[in-house]
Amino acid sequence: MSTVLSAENVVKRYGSFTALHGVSFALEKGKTLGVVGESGSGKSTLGRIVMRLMTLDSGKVLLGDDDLFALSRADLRVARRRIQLVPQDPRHALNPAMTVKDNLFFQLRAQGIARSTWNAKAEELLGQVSLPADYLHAYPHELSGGQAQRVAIARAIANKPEVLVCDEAVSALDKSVQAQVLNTFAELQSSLGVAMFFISHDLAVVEHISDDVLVLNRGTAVESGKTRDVLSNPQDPYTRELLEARHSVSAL
Amino acid sequence: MSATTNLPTTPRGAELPPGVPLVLDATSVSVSFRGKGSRYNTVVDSVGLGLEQSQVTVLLGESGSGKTVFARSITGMAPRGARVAGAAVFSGQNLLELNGRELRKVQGNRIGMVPQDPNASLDPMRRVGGQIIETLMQHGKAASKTAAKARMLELLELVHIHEPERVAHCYPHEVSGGMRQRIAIAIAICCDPELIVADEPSSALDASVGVRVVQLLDDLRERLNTAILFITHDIGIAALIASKPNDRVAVMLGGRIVELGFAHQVLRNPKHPYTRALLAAEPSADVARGSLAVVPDEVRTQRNWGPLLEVEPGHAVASLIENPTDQKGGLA
Amino acid sequence: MTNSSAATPSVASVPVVRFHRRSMLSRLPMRSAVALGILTAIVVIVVAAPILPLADPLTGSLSDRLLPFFSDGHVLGTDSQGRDMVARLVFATRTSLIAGVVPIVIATLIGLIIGTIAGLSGKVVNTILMRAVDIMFAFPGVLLSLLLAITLGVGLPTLILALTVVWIAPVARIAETEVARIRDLDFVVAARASGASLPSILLRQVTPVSLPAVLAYSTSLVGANVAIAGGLGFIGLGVPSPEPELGSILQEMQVAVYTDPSLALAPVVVILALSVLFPLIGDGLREAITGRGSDA
Repeated sequence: MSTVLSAENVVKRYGSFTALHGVSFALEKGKTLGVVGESGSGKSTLGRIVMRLMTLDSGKVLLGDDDLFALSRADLRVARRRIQLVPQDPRHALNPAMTVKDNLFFQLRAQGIARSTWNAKAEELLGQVSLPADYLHAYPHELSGGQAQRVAIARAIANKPEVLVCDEAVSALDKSVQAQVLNTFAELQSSLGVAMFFISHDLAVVEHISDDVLVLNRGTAVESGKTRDVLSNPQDPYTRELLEARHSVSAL
Repeated sequence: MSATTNLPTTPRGAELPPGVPLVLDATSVSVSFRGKGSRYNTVVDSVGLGLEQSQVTVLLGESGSGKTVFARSITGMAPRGARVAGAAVFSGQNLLELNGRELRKVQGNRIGMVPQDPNASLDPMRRVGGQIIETLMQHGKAASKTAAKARMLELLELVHIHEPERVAHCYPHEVSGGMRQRIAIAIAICCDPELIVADEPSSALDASVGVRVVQLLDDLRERLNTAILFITHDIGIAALIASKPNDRVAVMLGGRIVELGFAHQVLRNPKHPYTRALLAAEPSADVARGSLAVVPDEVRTQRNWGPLLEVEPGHAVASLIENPTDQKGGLA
Repeated sequence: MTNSSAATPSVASVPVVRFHRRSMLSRLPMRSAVALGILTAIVVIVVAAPILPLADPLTGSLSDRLLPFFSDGHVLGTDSQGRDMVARLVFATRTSLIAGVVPIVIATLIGLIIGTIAGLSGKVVNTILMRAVDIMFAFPGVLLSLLLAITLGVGLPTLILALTVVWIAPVARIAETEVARIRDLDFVVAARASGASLPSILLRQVTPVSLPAVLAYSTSLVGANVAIAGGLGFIGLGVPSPEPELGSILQEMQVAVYTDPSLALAPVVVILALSVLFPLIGDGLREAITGRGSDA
């Protein structure tokens, strides 16, 4: 199994406050790593750092075999074709001043894809997230939360990245819509073989979508391992606390 | 779906045991907003609901179902530009007919609101304790400032805030999201209201924190004997708050209630295709990835639901109308 | 209509919708459309001034001084030197419009650039730029005009320069606030993640979203600017006579206050009208644009 994304002892400080206390993980090709924790656990910070959208104070991030923070500007630009982001808020995930088509075109241009293929690609991408081509002409405010989020996903997979960093990508959606988007993620993973770094505060979602799990509590990785193992036999009290909250809901 | 009895079209569905007083009795409430030109868009379509003391009624539905507009309208807080028809009787007064001043005497005092975003009920510029004291004094619930302060600390403890003195001294931004929501609840209950309307109180919080907030509300309604109207899109949370046998769930879709019954009926034995789909859409490890049930589009955009018809005692469901012009019949 | 298909789709099919674009103009509120209409009419008249059958605004005979409204050949009377008021007002409005609009256009351009750079930069650069803006804010416009008039001489170019400098700061502030807010929104973060270059992000992602708010603000500034230009003209820092300018005409008409105050009404009405028309349009523009969804 090859590792597409890994971190070694990542530390991040804001002045005197330490957001991440030496976090490490390894994400295998085609698998999903669920990163779970409450607000303030540092999970979003970690997500930004592994995409080099934020600096780190010490530690390493490896994208495949490349030391992400040692790459030159030019190499970084190319590396960005291998890891993409699906953000949280569907209302702001797309540029509101541009149509869906233009939003996608911007991505295609940034990723270095040939202009002549843009029109076909844009249509194809929407198809992959089950949206009809008509939606190319829509403005983001005309889309529902779930639809906007699917366009954001289409944008992220435009150039078939190896890793998708999903930062609370379903948290702002209604439960019924959440199911559709989670299905979309699963389908794309099986058709494209993309690995996912799936950040969420919702244990039920993480339990469903991830192979492995990393539990963060105030910047420290308190537990990690195969999802099934960790959640059926949690070792850390914090994990147990999260699980208790989860199980009281499934009184159904 | 066969109807065992046809009830008259007051879509409350269940026959109530005689003599149970209703805290709020909403009948035939319709809310519409101005659309393009002179057309009006109906957001809530002739909905009725009766809320009892100490009972939780869950309004379950997704964004756009009309649940928030309905709940706000029946408590006299319809959004600007809304046209509201129908009646919402609270202690003998129809809230839809009261003027601003009379409404203000009721709101905050006898009806408490817990909004989704606690920032809506908390003033960022004032310390937490001060805000609660002010509400108490405003509604004449405390004889003096000292009494108000004591009551305020009591309230903070009631909502499980462990260091009430310290927290009372903080500004809203200095405490966590979960704590802000508890403070919002403290403000909502400070005047001992007969009804609490909670609009997605856990949605903006982390799952685990949200669960604790919901459990708090459940605990409080028993202690204070308040009725709770709880709005959510999350069926798991609905199950959590509707913990007592008398609690009910009303499923809203497209501005109408499509299923109504006791919680254990609706959540364990749902009859409406939409409710069934919601239940099946819950993510869990037991469902294979990519196979989470999805609400079929025909169901979600369907507007031809008929009146609620009883399918078992206390449990009513709306059926599809074959011929939209034939409003009285349902599917046999 | 029952769902008879065997397999439940994993993603609900989405209804096919045609997305129609309503033109910006059709979304302008009534008051702004009317204001725009009036302004267009004024601009047309003013631009066509040289070819219109107007009297000479620069010369007049002293025997015709201070004639009242509706005098023979002078619908709005004459001024203290016997010059036809209608002609003077038309040419004065032209000057005032130029003095009103040009400084704002230039200030907007410069302010937008400064504000955008400051908004996207790190703390150090942002602080340097915004403190410079604060200093410009503190500088009184009248004093600046006076200084420039002394060094460069009174005239339209000097007036335009003075007014431009005055307005750079407020536009820069608005632009900086907007851009700083926009840069943290998810779509900008996603743009950075996509590997796009900074100029590309700036031009294609940030500016289209920040521009409408800045433009709407600038448009309303023109109104205030016209009034200020009039004020400067009133105290003699506008264009030198005999060139007509709304403020200086008003100043000249002071002499008529005792005999026929209504004569002074005309330039006042024009200044007021211009000061009101622009904010009305700017306001409406903001509404129309927001409907299009540039309101992030």
